[in-house]
Amino acid sequence: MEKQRELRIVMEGQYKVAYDLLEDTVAVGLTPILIGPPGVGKSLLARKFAIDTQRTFHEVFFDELMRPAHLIGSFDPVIVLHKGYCQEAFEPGPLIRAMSEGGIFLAQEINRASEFCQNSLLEPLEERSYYIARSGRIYADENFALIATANPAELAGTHRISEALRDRLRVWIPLTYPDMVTELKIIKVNCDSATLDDIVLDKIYAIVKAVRENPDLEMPASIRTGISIAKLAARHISQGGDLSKEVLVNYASNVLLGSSPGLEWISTRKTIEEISRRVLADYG
Amino acid sequence: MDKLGSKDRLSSEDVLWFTSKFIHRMRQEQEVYFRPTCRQAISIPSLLSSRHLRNGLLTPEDLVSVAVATSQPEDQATAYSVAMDILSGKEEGEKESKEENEVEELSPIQSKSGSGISSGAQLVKEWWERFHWDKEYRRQLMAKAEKIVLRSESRCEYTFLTKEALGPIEGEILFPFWWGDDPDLIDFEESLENLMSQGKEPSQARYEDLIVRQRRGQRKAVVFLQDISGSMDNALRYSLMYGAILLYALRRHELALAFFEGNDYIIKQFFDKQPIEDVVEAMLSASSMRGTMGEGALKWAREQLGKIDGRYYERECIIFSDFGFFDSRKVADEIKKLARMDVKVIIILPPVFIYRAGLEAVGKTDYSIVELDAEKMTRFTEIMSEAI
Repeated sequence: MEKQRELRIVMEGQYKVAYDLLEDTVAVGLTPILIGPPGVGKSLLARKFAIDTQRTFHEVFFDELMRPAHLIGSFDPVIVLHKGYCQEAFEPGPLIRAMSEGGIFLAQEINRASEFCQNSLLEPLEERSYYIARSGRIYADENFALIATANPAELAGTHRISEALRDRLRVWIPLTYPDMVTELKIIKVNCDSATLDDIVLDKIYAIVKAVRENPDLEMPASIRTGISIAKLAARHISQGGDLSKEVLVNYASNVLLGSSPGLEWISTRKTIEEISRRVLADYG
Repeated sequence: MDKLGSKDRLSSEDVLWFTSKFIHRMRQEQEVYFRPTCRQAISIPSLLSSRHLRNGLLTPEDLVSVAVATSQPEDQATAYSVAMDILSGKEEGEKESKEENEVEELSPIQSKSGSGISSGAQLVKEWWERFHWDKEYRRQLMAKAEKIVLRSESRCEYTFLTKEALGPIEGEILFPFWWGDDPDLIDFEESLENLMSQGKEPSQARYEDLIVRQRRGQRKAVVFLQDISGSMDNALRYSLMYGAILLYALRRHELALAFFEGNDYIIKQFFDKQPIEDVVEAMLSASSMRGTMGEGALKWAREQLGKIDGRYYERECIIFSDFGFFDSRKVADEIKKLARMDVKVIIILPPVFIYRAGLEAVGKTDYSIVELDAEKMTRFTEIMSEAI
């Protein structure tokens, strides 16, 4: 079962609605897909669900080169040459493990999966079983559930979910950037909030929001960026430093550089610094 | 039935009535991208039953939220308005008559072609001029693309047959097993031969002694090169439209696109996360410019395809050009280099004018040529399903 490690999650607003919908969906045997930009808490929500329902948790990030054998498992070819096709030679993959243990299988970025991989998910979703050649049919435990995630910006991309799989992903749960109050709470629970007063947290949120809304930056700033800036600021204060405007601008620009496409770091850094200074000027 | 929106609590009859009405109305909606399936119809009451267990009652808001959540993201805005219309008792008749009028206005091309007045080329021209930015136009392109995919996939089926079923496959590519390779692709017969040739016993086998077959008929990595030089002026509309159809047809694969004339304009590289609609938009929005130099674009294509692992992707380069190159010899060299890399090169010539001399200068190498004359345009889907 998923370890009871501390999950820093704020179950309010959209997260409460999404979690309830996730629970309802799995309870009636339907397959949910969490849709949202990176860093809004999709996998955290799925992980919390696994902990709350005391199920094991298996996670796979799909990409173009992933093959069904990575999900299903495979026979170790050298053992097969020594002993033939035997149970000992079969190393089950995360999907088969989740099915047999009655766990949660989190299919991350499912829209990036090759059609070959997408097709290998159809049988477990529809029949709750999987036929492994030379080994036999594996039947899923009744607690097995597949939860998928996808980034909406990529849904319309060159990687598409096949019609057959789309039709089996039955409940589409959207998550977006949370409102100010919720996002500030998320930042607080994820860093040493004792060293940061509310004004500093407000400033950090204001910078992240302003960067997120800037159309010139390729990637919107995620919640993780706010948490990272807050962690650096908290550490700076705990070391006895003075969190001046320039220090905060420097932390913000270093963290938020991930919003740049790569080759234009210098101009992006300049843009972020300008935005940060403009935002902080409002605080006097 | 009373307006559902005015009820505080809903019964199971209300749920079933709403579900059937919602699914029916969504299937009638012009704007819906993915028509609701039976699975969605079953999911709505299932999910509502879970909601009922949680809250002890069902409200009209539950109907709306479940109707939206079970619809595809592209259709969720429509699903919301349809669900709200049903709750408020708004009938679909008024809306339908308006939609019928809109469809009527978009139909003349179909009726013209039906009367036999338009040739294939004329039909294409009309499409271009009148429906360039139209959703219906896109749908027609996508329909043609779908035909290419269906035809081409039915041809590819044999590639999924195993060696045991098919016998040795001519030209099959074999390579040593490496970490991350799909163990299902190990060819034990070849692996044992490999061990024997090294004088090894099976018990001495190491992973790299195992031989893996290349999987075929899987993903492709395709570079599109579109000539937008001045000489393509009259031909560009055809070239771009057929390019857009192929982009749609190959949307599930990895794509790269560049325009070229004297300069090269890179629109999309492999693995760029760019929506296919944006790429098609770029393709359809191009306009012709000046002289043609092909070497740079082909070099870029070669670099792009060189980064792609040939074990996992079939590599293709599709060139749309009239072959009025100023640098024909260099173009010929680049095409030969692509062919040597096992890249399938397909040249699509426009219907208006072709520089035969330029084409001859490239010489006979390993490439396919599709010349879009009036006859070939009508058989485009069939021809391209074979070519790609």
